[in-house]
Order: sequence, then C-alpha cells, then structure tokens
Amino acid sequence: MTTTSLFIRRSYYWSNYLVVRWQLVLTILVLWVSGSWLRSHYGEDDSTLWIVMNQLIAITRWTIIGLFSLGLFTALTTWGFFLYQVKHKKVIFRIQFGEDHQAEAGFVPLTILLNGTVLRPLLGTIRARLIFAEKKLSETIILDANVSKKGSLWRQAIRGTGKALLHDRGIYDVEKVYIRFCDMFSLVALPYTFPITQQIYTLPKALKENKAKAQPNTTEQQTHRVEIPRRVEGEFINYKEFETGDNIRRIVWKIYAKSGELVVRIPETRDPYASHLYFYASFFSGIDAGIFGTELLNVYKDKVRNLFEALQKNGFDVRMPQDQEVPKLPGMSDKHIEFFQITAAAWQQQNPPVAFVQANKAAFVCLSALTPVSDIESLLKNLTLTIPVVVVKLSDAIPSPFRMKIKDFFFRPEKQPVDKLRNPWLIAPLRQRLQKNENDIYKLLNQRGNGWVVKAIDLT
Amino acid sequence: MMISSPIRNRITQLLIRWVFVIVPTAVIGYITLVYVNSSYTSFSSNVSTQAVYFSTGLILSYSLYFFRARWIFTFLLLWLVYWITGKIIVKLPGEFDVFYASAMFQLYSVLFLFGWVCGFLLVRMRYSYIILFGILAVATLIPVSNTIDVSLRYILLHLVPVFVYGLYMLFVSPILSEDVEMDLMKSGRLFLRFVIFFILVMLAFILVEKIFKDNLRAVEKELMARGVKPDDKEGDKEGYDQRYGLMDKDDGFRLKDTMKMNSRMSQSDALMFCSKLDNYFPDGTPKPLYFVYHYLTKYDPIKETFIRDVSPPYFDEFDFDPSTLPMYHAKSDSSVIRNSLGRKKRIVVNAEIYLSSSNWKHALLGPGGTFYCQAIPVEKEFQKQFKSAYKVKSYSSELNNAYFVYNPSASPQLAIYQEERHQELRTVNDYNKVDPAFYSYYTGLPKGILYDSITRLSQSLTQGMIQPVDKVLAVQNFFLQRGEDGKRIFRYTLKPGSMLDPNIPNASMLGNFLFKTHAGYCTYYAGASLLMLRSLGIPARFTTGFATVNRSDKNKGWYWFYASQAHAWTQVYFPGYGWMDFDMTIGNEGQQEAPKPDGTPPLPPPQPWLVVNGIAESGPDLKTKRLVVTFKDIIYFNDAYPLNKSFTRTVDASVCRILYDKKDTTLSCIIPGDSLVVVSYLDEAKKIPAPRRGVTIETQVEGFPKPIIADEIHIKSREIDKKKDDSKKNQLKPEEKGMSWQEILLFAGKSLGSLIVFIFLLPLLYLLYLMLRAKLANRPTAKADGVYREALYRFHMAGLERGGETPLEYAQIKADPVFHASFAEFMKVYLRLKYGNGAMLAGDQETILQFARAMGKGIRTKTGIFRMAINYFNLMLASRYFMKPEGTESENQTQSI
Repeated sequence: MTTTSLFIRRSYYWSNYLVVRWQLVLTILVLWVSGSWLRSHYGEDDSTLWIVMNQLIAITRWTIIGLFSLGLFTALTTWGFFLYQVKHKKVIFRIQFGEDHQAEAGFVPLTILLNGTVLRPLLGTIRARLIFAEKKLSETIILDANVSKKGSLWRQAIRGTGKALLHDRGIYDVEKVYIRFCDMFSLVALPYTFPITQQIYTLPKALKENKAKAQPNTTEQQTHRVEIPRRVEGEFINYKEFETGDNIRRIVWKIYAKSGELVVRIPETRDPYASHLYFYASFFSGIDAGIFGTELLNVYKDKVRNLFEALQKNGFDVRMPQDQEVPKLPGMSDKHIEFFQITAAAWQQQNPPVAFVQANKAAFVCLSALTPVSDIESLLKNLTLTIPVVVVKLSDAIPSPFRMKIKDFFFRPEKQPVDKLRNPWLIAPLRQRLQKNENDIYKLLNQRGNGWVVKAIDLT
Repeated sequence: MMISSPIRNRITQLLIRWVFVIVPTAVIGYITLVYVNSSYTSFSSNVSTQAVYFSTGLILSYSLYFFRARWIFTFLLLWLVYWITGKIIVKLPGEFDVFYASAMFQLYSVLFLFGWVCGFLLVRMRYSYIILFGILAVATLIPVSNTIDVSLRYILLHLVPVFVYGLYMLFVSPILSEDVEMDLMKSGRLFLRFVIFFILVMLAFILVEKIFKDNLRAVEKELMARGVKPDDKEGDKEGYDQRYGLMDKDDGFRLKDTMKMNSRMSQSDALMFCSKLDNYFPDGTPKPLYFVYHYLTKYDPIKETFIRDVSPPYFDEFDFDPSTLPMYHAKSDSSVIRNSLGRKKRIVVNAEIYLSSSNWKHALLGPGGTFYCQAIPVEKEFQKQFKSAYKVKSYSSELNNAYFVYNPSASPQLAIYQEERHQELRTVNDYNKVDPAFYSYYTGLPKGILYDSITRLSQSLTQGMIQPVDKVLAVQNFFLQRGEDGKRIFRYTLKPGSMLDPNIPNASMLGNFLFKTHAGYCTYYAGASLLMLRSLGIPARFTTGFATVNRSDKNKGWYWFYASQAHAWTQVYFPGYGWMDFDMTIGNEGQQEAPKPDGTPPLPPPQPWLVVNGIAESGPDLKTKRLVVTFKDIIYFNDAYPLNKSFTRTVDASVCRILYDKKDTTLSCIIPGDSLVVVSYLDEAKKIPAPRRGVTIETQVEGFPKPIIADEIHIKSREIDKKKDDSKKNQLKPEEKGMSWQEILLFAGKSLGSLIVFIFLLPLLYLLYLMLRAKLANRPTAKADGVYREALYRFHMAGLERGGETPLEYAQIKADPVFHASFAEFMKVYLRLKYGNGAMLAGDQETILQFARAMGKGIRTKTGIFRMAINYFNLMLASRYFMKPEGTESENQTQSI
C-alpha cells in the first residue's frame, strides 16, 4: 500500500471520530445563505412583509433549533448511558457473518447485536461498523431492530443487519467495533469503539458449474466413507430430516406431499473402501505480482475452488494436500476445511510444484500462471501423461478498462474493488510478462497433452 | 435478510425510496407550483398538469439513475427528444397554434427537466436534498414576497411545508442513503418513525408558536395599524375584502397591491373615493382625467411581466404617503414637473380627494403629474363615508382627457377635440432628440420567439406610417377590428381563461391574448399594446389607476370612483408634450355604469387662518375648556413657517371639534405630551391678525390673539407616536429586535465553542468529581474506594494506561516503579477492606492518607505539572480510560466462528 493511500485511509478512518457531521455543516450553510438572501431582498425594517416574515422566520428558526437541540440532547444522554452500561459490563457485542458463520467473498451478510439495555436517541439511530486490520472499515449497519425478551415488554437486545463488502478471499482480523449514536437528523455522531478480537474468513466464489474428469492415481485404505446416493425404498429408517447443507436433490417429495415434512434419503455406502483422489493445487509464485498479487490470488482461489468442486462431481472423495501451513481458526467445523485451506492460502515462493506434487499420488494438478514455465517443465517430467494438469491464466484476471458490454454504455456497472486496478493492469509490465509465460506454458502443455491453460474468467 | 435475486432486491429498494423520497418531493413540488402559479406567474395551464410533468421527470430520472444510468447518455437523449419535439411543433399548421403549442411545450419541458434534475441530484449527490431544500425555500419565498396577503396565516402556510420537507429530508436521507439496504420490515419501522417525526415537528411548531404568541399578537396589531387584515374572516365583515387595498405598499412595489383588476375587484361596487376635479373644457363642461396610482415602467424578463421601478430615468411620480401629513400640512415635489418632460399644452389642475377606506394611506392618488399634496379634514357628517382627504395639484396635459382615452366617439364635439389632439401630436415625427437613456429604457423589450411575433404583428399594422401617433392609433384600432362576421375579434372579459389569473398578465398570457384567445380585461389590452408600441420603438409605460366617469352634471366636477373602475391603460411619450394617455381597452360596459348612483359630495373644509403643530403641555382644563400648547411650526394663511423658537400659548377649545385619528372625540382625551394640530378658521368675528410684510414670523406670532381660539384640534395617533418611540427604543436596544444572521452565527459559534470547551473540560471535571468523592467520603471503605478510583484515573491520565493486568498487578508492575507512591501497599489495604469484613487495622488509615498524598506528588514529579495538565485535555486518552473496563474484557468479547 502506498503512503498516499495509507494516509487517505487513515484520514478517512479518523474522520469518523468527528462528532460534527457534514450534514450539520451544510445545513447551517444553506440556512445561512437562505437567511442572508431573504434579508438582503426583503429585510427592510419598516416593510410589512418583512415584519411578518421576520416573525415567522424566527418561529421556524427556533423550531429548528429546538428540534436540533432535542435530537442532540437525547443523543448525548443515550450515549452517556451506553458508556455507563459498557463500563459496568452490562452490554455484550455479538457479530455474525454470513449464514452459518461463513460466506463467499463479496457483499457478506453481517449482523451486529448489542445485548443489554441500550437506548436509542429519540428518532435517532445507533450505527455500527467493523474495524479490520490496517484500519479498514466495513459498511455501516444501522441497529434498528429489537430482539424481544420473553415475558418482558422491554427488549433484550438491539440488532442490525446489512452487508459488508469483503472482497478478498482470506482471513479478516476484526480489531474493533465502532459504534455511533446519531441524533434524528444525523447532524452529530457520538463515537465509541470497542476492542474485539475475532477472525473471520470469506470463501472463494463459486463459479458456474463445471466438471473435470479425473481418476484416482492410487488406491488407499479409507477411514471414511464416500457417500454416493442411490435409490432407496422402504421404511423411514432410510430417511432423515432435511438439514442445511443437505443436497436438495435428495429431498423425497412424496413424503413432503403426504406429511409436509422435508426429509432426505440417507445415502448408503456403495463401496466403503472406494478410492479417493488427490488434487494438488499449487500457490507457488515464481513471478513477483506486486500490488496485483492480492487480486490475482483472489481469482486463482476461485478457480481452485471451482476445480475442486468439479472434481468432486466424479464421485470420488477429493483430497487436497497443502503446499503451505495455514492458520487454524478455533471452533471451525471440518465441513468446509478444503475451502478454508484454499481461502487461507497465500502466494509462496518456498515450495515449488516439483517439490510439492507427489507424482505417485496426484490425480489432478492445478498451477497458476505465476509459475515459471521452467518449473512446470520440471514438474511435467515427473508426471505420467494420465495426470491432467491445469494452468490458470492470470493475465486476464483483471479485466481491461475497455472491456465493456453494450449495456455498460447506458448504465454504469456496479463498482467493484478491482476497478481501481484495471488501468494500472493494462500498462503493467507484469501483465506482458505473464502473457509470455502463459504462451510458453501453452506450448509446453500442447506438446505434452492432457493439460490445458484455462482463462481466469471462464473455466472451460 | 433479503438475499433474493439482485434485480428484485434493487427494485424493492427503489419502490421503498419511491414511497419515502419521491412521493414527498412530488408533493412539495406540487405545493410549490401552486404557490408559484397563484402568486405572480401563470402559465395558463392546470397546476395538476404541471405537477404531473414535474413528477414524471422526477420519478423517471430517479428510477433510471437508481439503476445507474449514465447521465451523459440520458441527458443527450433528453436533449434529442426536446429538439425533435420542438422541430415538430414548429411545423404545425397555423401561426397561433404554433405559438400556443411551443409555449406549452417550453413550460412543460422546463418542469419535466427540473423534475429530472431533482431526481438526478437526489440519487447521485449525497447531500443534494439540502440544496434542493434551499432551492424550494427560495422558490416558495419569492411568491410570498409578491403577495398582497401579508398575513401570518398566509405566509405560515407557505413557509411551513417547505421547512417540514427540509427537516424530513434531513431526517430520512441518512437512513435511505445508497449503502443502507432497506426491506419491507425495516421500511415498516421507518414509517412508524416518520409518523412520530411528523407529530414531533408539528408539536415543536405549535410550542414555538405559543412561546412567540405575544410577538405574533404584536405583529397582528401592527398589521392592523397598517391597514392589513391579518385574518381573512375579519375581512369578510365589511363586504369588500381589504386585502385588495390599493395603497398597501410595502418594500418596493407589488402589482397586486396596486391593482387587483380581476373579476372580484371589477365586480365590486365598493366606493373607493370621490374627487372634486377642477378641470373643464372652454365651454365649462367638466373635463375628467384618469386618476393615476402607479406607473409600471420596467419589464421584468424573469417574471415576464411589468413591474414598478422606483428609479427609472426622469421619474415623474410623486412617491409619497399622504397619511403621514399632519392636518393642513402640505408637501410638494418639483421634480415631478421637471421630469414630466412636457412643456407644451400643460396646465395645473387642482383636485380634492376623499378616501372612503382607511387602507388608502401609503401612496398618493391623483391625476397624472401630481406634484403637491395637502391633508384636509373631512366634515363631521361625512366621516362615516370618508376616512381621510387631501388636496392635490397636478401638472397635467391639456391634451389628456378621460373621454379621449376611453369611448372617444361619445359625442361629435368630443370627436373633434380628439382629432385636434391627434393633429397636435402629429407634429411629433420621431424621437431623435430624446435622451438615449430615456428612450432605450421605455422601448426596452427582451428577445425571444414571442417578442419577435409581436414585433412582426406591430410592423404589419403600421406599415407605411411615420408619425408615432398614427402608429399608436393603428395599434388601438387593431383591438377594435371586426371579423368577417362583423363582430369584434377582441372582446372584453373578466375571465380570460386562466384558472389562476395573476391580475397583471405575463408575456405568455399576453401572447395567448394577442394570438389565440383575443379575450381579456384592461391589463391585457394595456400590456399587449405596451409590448406592441415598444416593439415599434415608441416609448410607452403601463399605468394603473382609476377610470374617471362623469355620470351626471348635478355636481359639476365631482366624480365617484368605485372598485369596478380600477383600471390599467397605456401612456405614450411624445417629445415636448410628455406622457399622453391612450386607453386600448375595448367596450367594457360595466365600467360605464356605476354600481350605485353618485352620492352627495362632502362639504369643502373651512379655510383656516392658522394651523399650529404642537405638543400639549398639560391636560385640558375641562371647566374653562382650555389647554396649553407648545409649538415650533405653523401654517399661517396657507403658508408653512418653521419658527426659530418654541412658543407656548393657551388654546381656547370651548367651541372646538376634537378628533383622534380622524374621528371625533372629547377634550378629556387629550393628555400631556400628546401631539396636536390646532386649527383656527377664518372668521370675521375673530380678531385675526393679517400677515405683515417685512415682519418676521416670530414677531407676528407674538401678536396672535391670546388665547388662540381653536375650531379643530387633531390628536395625532398615539400608536404612531408609540411606534416612533419603539423604533427609538429598538435603536437603543438592538438586542430586543430579531436576531440578525450575524448574531445567529455568533450565537451558534458561541454555543458550539461552549460545547467544545465543555467537552474538553470533561476529563478535568471528572477528576474533580473523583477527588471530591474521595475527600468527602466518611466511611473508611468508601474513602479507600474513592482514593482507589482517583488513583486509577490519575495514573491513567498521567500516561500509564492499564492493560489486561489486575489492579494489584498494575500497581506492582507499572505504577509503583514509575511514581513511587506505594500504590501496591494501598491496594492490599483496599482489597482487604473491600473483600474482607471491612474492619480497619492499625495503620490502614495512615496508609490510605499517605497514598492519597503521595500519588499526586509522584505524578507531578514524574510527568511535570505542565504535562499533567495538558493530559487532562487529551480526550482520546480520557476516552480510553472509560472504554477499558476495570475487570477482564473477555465478557464483552464476541464469539468466534
């Protein structure tokens, strides 16, 4: 991150602590201009019109001042009460991301909850933002919902839901929760930051469904079962209640029609000792990606996830060895461990593919275009021809600024975090270097066969 | 949480914003249009239709830009549609239809575009609603400024909606900003909040109104004193709505204040005034003149109408309020004669004017060229009918005559007179010797399609004519022309077609009148002819006043003026002759017929020999009916004299009329200090000293009879005096007046400054609170607790912030090594007292007191007094103390995923 952008981000961050908002400044300015205009045009002391207008303007002025003061007063008192409650540990913060604590990168559903007696300013709002590492701020969430308490008229908590833009696939360190008490006209915002230690992660994005054919390279004894659905008839013992995460294609609609209950068939193990499949995805980067590294990594992670899911469609249990150590988050379930491994991975220079990929196990190999052609050449020498090799092109990972659809001429496309990289990427030497590397890889894979270079945008 | 398809979600967001943003904006747009239309600009179309165009532009633009349409593309598209439609309209058959259609198209496209820009700003600009509020406020206040209805209710009705809208948008916009996603549940809650918000705003207005009740009453009284009815209900009592008072002039000139010549006024049979006009033909028959109120000389291209300019070149209007004249006092303005620019065929005409309404007090009414005014009393028996009176002298043209300008062919003799007049004026061939500034001012017209059409029309009518008067007559004849069926093309109507008739028509309406409807009343004819004459290079001005009608010869020279005679006509300038009246209005039958027969003329006031303007030195002696008056100026045989010194004289009021505010009262009403006008009539029975030449007026005053026998004593309105006093007081105590913007700014600045200072003082105040708490604690445990809290806070503010350690650890590891204050020792005592049985051991008290003394010393030694003091203004440092709970922080942490 450059010094300027760091300065801008920090300035923006600290500006949030300003109590007086732009709205107040502009309102005072407009009222002042209107008042001056009126006085200059009609402000003759002896004018009948001015006598009346002056009086009514005074009424309006004091009404506005009264309302503003009321808003300010309630904001101050509720803020003070909140500080008191926090000091006496009567308020608990809770944050929830996505659904079931996980979400794909992009706009992630976010829920912030303040448990305890928290008063809102009269017709005002309590707003919250998350502060991540490097003083990044999430989008604002207005805590406008009440969580009712059983047997009580008073609420148990206040809650706000919204979406936070978490574009990068990876782990986010939440450092603070930033709360603001705003008066009814949002003229002032009384801040409070609460330190918090929490890590969250976003998954790579799911792309359109694909299928990649692969066969296990070797057979090992399994300790877990590979679940393959088959048609089952008979008693209810073969069914279980539908849960989140179950494949909806297994829902037995006949039973739903009869009883109204959603149940799924319990898949039976066809072969408890079926073979699994090793999918080697290398995050080796022999070429320094510089400021583009994060975005290229995002794209590559999406491809790896997509490939992983495509391989799963072959019916095998897909295993994914890691070329680097990734942190483990407490309380994380094993359900999506591979996805987490993908999302937590970073570009690495220590473990080249030739060292990482075990030729006797590998069933499918995925590399990025940041891998120098020489390294791929060395790897291919060790691999048999039956093992497919996919290299993800990255030179087209960041779209050109000239790439527009016809619709974009009339409607602005939604702003994406990657937009700011589009121009620099167009003229970046890295892009040309990558294109050359990809051409070389393409030739190499053509010579070998059973390998292909895939586009960053559409996996074919 | 709505995680349905993005487009569906986006549409939901849009619909919610339609309800909360678009609908209120459309409503306020409609209200503003109603005000704008009803006040001074009429577009000859329905307000609802205008609002529909505005709202359509608003909603379309808001929706398009909400879906991120590119503004360049959309504005280009708009321009293209505008251009193509404009071209199509021009191709329409018929010149009149083209004009009408293009006028409508221009109006609606402007409204549509305004709505479009509003929608664009609301979506794209974050704080645009504040700017929009400013624009709407101005758009509402401009019509308010043009109102004749200067009443609290009227202006409040105009101001409140726009301010409520401003507050509403301030309230709603941050909630509905682009990055906040709404759903139906949220919007339901939002709706509830809106309801509460509106109730709160209304309550606030009502409360403030109650607080300002006295001020409002004072304003109402002031309005009543000025002749403005603050409440419409009261206006109904007298039949004639006094809002239409023609002399109710405020700052600058308001057309409606002058002439309300629409249907309501014209059909009113209220007597406005009567006048004795000493102007006769050589054969002794009365020669009536139109009575002028104001000249509208300037054409305002923004309002597209005629307005009064108080400083045009050669301003020949006596701009004076006759109600300010003390009785029998006079005022003249010779600049009127000088600026009339007429030397030929000029005479001085005398007139007496008796006003029937008390509204007539802010401007002068008289024949054109009035330069002198003297206040005269109204005889007692006529006081019910006439409220006030004055004499005027006018420098009038012999060539002007009410018969000439209106209904010229009433008799053959008049036709001859008129022809003579035209012949006289035919000696004027051009305007070459006229002051260019004067000429360009009175022939000024803006450019545009409408004005070009009018110019073409005028030129076609006057082809081949050279003399200006012939051109004027050609224009006059244009309105009199008849169609193939023998009927007149132009007709007189009080309902010219517009629902919201603005009284003085604007250019669009005049265009309609000339080219399409051919129907209107006097202002239409005057306005249209003015545009035509100016387009021909003939200086002309719009004149408002009263048409004079001689209904009977019973009382020669007396004319009665009813509301229906309120009139507008054109004055044309002829070098050497000055301004000549020309009335272009065709057959208004109603104007010829009086709604009532003329009444009995009031008796002329007796001639006074002496008028004394003085102060009552004492209350009157009711037995002798005498009082003492001090005076410093007099009118002696109709000549005003200021005196070098004050004179005090006894006044005999035994056979005297006493009047207060022009109404009869009794002598006992006079109190010391009252301003009085003492009048003594010419009477042979009195020993009246004749004026002596070569003797100073002071010497002559010495010779006045003692006591002075008064015939009338006028007590000046105490309200006027009071007002003067008040204004003096106001000058002395400016703080009692309404706050100026500078004062508001200063006040706001001071308040903000005080708030900031208070916030910065909070850490210090908290320290004082803790110290007091520790000092005042009686029980040992409370004392220890107080000292403990004070110590934690002071150490923190000294820069030694506590991390995750316990207080004892903090004392041992952090505080003591730095401050050497035996904090750990104190902590042991404190913890034992707090968690033990609370019993004090020997030495505990000493330990506590010792620590209380040592901590301050330790901090001062370590950080220095200056640094220590500075730290107490560090809000961030202080806030960190409150943000970090004293115990462990785990309880407040959120769950991990």
